[in-house]
Formats: sequence, C-alpha cells, structure tokens
Amino acid sequence: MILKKSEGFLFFLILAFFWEVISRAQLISPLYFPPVSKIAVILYHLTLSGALPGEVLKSFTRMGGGYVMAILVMVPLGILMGISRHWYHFFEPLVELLRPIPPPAIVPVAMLFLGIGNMMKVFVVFFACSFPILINTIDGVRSVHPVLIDTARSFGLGRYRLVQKIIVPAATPQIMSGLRTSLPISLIVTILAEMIGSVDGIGHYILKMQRSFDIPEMYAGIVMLGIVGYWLNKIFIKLDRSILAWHAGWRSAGK
Amino acid sequence: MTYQIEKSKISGFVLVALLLLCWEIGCRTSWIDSNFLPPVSLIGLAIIQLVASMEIVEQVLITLRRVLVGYALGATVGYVLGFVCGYLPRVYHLLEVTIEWLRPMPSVALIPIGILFLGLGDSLNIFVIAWACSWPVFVNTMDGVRCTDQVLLNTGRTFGFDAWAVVRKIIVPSSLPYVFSGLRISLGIAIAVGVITEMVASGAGLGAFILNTSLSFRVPEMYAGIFTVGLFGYALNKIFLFVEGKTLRWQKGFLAQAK
Repeated sequence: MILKKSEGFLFFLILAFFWEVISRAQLISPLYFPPVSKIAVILYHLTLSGALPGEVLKSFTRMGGGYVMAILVMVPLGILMGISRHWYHFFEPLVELLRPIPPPAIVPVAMLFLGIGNMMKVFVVFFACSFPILINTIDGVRSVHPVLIDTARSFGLGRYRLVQKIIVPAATPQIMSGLRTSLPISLIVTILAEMIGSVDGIGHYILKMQRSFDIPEMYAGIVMLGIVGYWLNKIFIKLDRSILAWHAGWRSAGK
Repeated sequence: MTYQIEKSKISGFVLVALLLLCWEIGCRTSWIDSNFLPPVSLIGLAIIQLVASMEIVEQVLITLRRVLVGYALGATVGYVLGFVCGYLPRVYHLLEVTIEWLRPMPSVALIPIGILFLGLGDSLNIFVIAWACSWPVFVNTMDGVRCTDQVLLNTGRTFGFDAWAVVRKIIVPSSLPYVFSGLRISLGIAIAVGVITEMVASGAGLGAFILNTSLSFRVPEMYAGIFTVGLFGYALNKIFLFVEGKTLRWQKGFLAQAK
C-alpha cells in the first residue's frame, strides 16, 4: 500500500518535472506557462508574507457565514417539511420555483440589493447551499424507518421528543450528505462572487493577477486554492466520521 | 383524506400567488424600490418583448450549445477515465495523488488560466464546463465499476466469457445506474458553470446577458434573464430524467424481480 502511494507521488512529481522542462524549453510561451519552480518560490513568498493567507481568510469568512446560515435555516425547515405534509405542500411550489435557478445567476441581483460588500457574498453562498441541504434533510427525515417511529410511539414518546430522539439522529447521515454536497458549491460560489464584484478575497486576487499579467502569482493563487479545497474536504470527512461514529458502528452491528 | 391533501397542496400555490401579489402591490405603492425590484407584470412584459425580438432566444442557443458540447466532452472523459481507474486499480493508484489534488480545485479558479490559453471565445466556456462535469462522472463510474456484483462476474466467467465480454455484458450495464447518477449531478454543474464562465469571461450567452443587463440597469431584463436561466435548467433536467427513465427501465424490472 505504501509502495503504491509513493508510486502516485512519483507520477505527480514526473508530471511536475515535465511541466518544468516544457516551460524551460519554451515549447509553450513561458509567459503563460511559468516553470513550476518559479510558481513554488512565489507561493512560498506570498504565503510567508501573509498576502495569500489573508485573502483566503477573507474568502473563508464569507463562505463560512453563508454556509452556516444555510444550515441554521434549512435544516429546521427541512425537518418541518419532512415531518408535516401540510408544511411540505405549503413551501414546495416556492422551493420548486427557486431551485432550478443556477446560483451564479443570483449574483447580479444580490449586487443590486447588497452592493459588493460581504453581505452580498454571504447571501449568494446561502442561496447556493440552501437547496442541497433542504432537499437532503427532507429526504432524510422521510426515510426514517417506520419501525423506529412506531417503537418510540409505543414507548409513549411525545411529538417533540420523537423528533429530538429519533427523527433527527436517524436523519443525520442524509443531512450530512447534503452538507457535504454544498461544501464545494459554497467555495465555488464565493470565488465567483469575488471575481464579479469584490475588492478582495482569493477569487478577486486570482483574476486581478491574470489581468495584470502577473502569471506566476495567478498560478500561486490557484495552487493555494487547490490546497485549501483539499484540506477543507479532509476536515469535513473527519468531522463527518466523528459525528456519525455511532452510525458506522450501528450499521456494522446490523450486519 | 384526499380532500385534505388537495387542500394543503393548494396552500403552497396560494403562498406563491400571495408573494407575487405582495411584490406587485409593494412595487406599485413604492414600498419596494422598483429600481431594484420592478413589478412582476413589468418583468413578464420584458420576457415577452425579449422573446419576440429574439434577443434572449439567441443567448439561450449560445449557452445551450456550450453547455451541451462541454457536457458531452466532460462526461466522455470522466466516463473513460473512471472506467479505466475502476477496472484497473493499478492505474488508479498511479493517478490517485494527481487526481485527488486536482479534483477539489474549484472550477472557477481555472477560468483565468483558460483565458490565457483559449481567449474569451466558445472554447474557454466549453473547456471549463467539461472540466467541471468530468469529476462527478469519473467518481461515480469508478464506484460503479468497483461495485460490480462478484457473483455476476463469476457467473460470467463460468459461462466462458472472455475479459471483453465480461466488460461489455456485465460491468458496463451493471455500472450504468451509478454512471447516470454522476451524469445527473454533472448536468446541474454544467449549467451553473456555463453561466459562471459567461459572466466572468464572455460577451455572449445567458450569463453575460444577465450580468450586462444588471450593470446597465436594465433591471426588468435582468430578471427576465434569470427567469430564463431557471427555466433552461428546469427543462434540461426534465429531459435528462426522461432519458434516464427510458435507459434504466430494465433496472427497475430487475430490482422488482429481485424482491
């Protein structure tokens, strides 16, 4: 296994080496395609000087704001819509009307109302993340096994306790999968909003560097974004495992 | 009971109608600033005019072409790569580090690189859409190929299938449901990324239309554009579900039999 992993790294290094050679040999204009070593050096300097981490941090604050807001609003709403047919029918047409709108199309509207400040990005992220979270929560609540509910009822659990003790825990895996789906969406939408209307943030930084032809800086920003996206996903998986630890144990016990 | 369900179903449409009415009245009585949110009737009028003058139809066609070409390209690459990686674990291990590093890269971040190499035309849009679309198809195809039922494989081998026949008759069909779920995710991504790319770097298409009308304060036209994009996504999704239903019909029968 370790051998295979190192093989993968080797392959990655070979690709990077090819990039370096192609760029040094000027097969592709080095203006567009600077050598990896140069990008790495610039990435190192920009990270040490705090320029890139600063931009990333700004983007993350916005992204986190919208993401958390979407969770706080959509999970309770989804639970409500999953439990009660009436509420489901009440909100369904509105949801179905708004859901097909691709989130980026909301950016110009948000710009009209909220300007190009932080609120605009937070709102756009909120909108983009809302539907995956909502739909997954509804599905999760609906697919709670009826035996669980009947058992709880026959033990005399009240409506509130039933939701708290049975429905929410049983729906958690599906809710988490909604959160997982909307995580990369939130990152993409943040960067987009920063590219279209912003004065800072990593999205704005990358586009600005491209426009001013600071190409190595542009690549450094993109590499940084890749690293951040990778770790974000890793952290989420860790969190997911620790929250759902009982679930994995429960499933393997059932087998 | 049926009566009750009918009644509660109506409540949702009443909510939408009420919201629309409040919107209209709010604008007319200038509670809402109609510079930012023009009355619904005005937006409806703008849609009719835009369709009549063919202005928006042109943009839809441009976006449609880009989305379809990019989607087809991305899905093909994702499928082939996913199939190879699922079927030959060695290849996957070789590519794993590279893929896991590239995959979480937000597609938007590639637009600036794309502009450098491809300029601002169709090919940039198509490239970014294809890139973004290929990942879900790749991951799902790989999973589907890996999850092929061992019993099916053994049965096939017992009946003397060679490797090619096993692939064609067993692995390809049994991984199809996974592939389709990847394809469905990718379709939504294709539309969103198409709009994004048109906003950031393009003079044409629905995304550019929405952004331009917004920047030049043609607000009713902007809302008309957003409505059109929503309709566009909705229609493509419906078509997809129809095709999926047709293609995977055998699977429903198969599952029902297994029960």
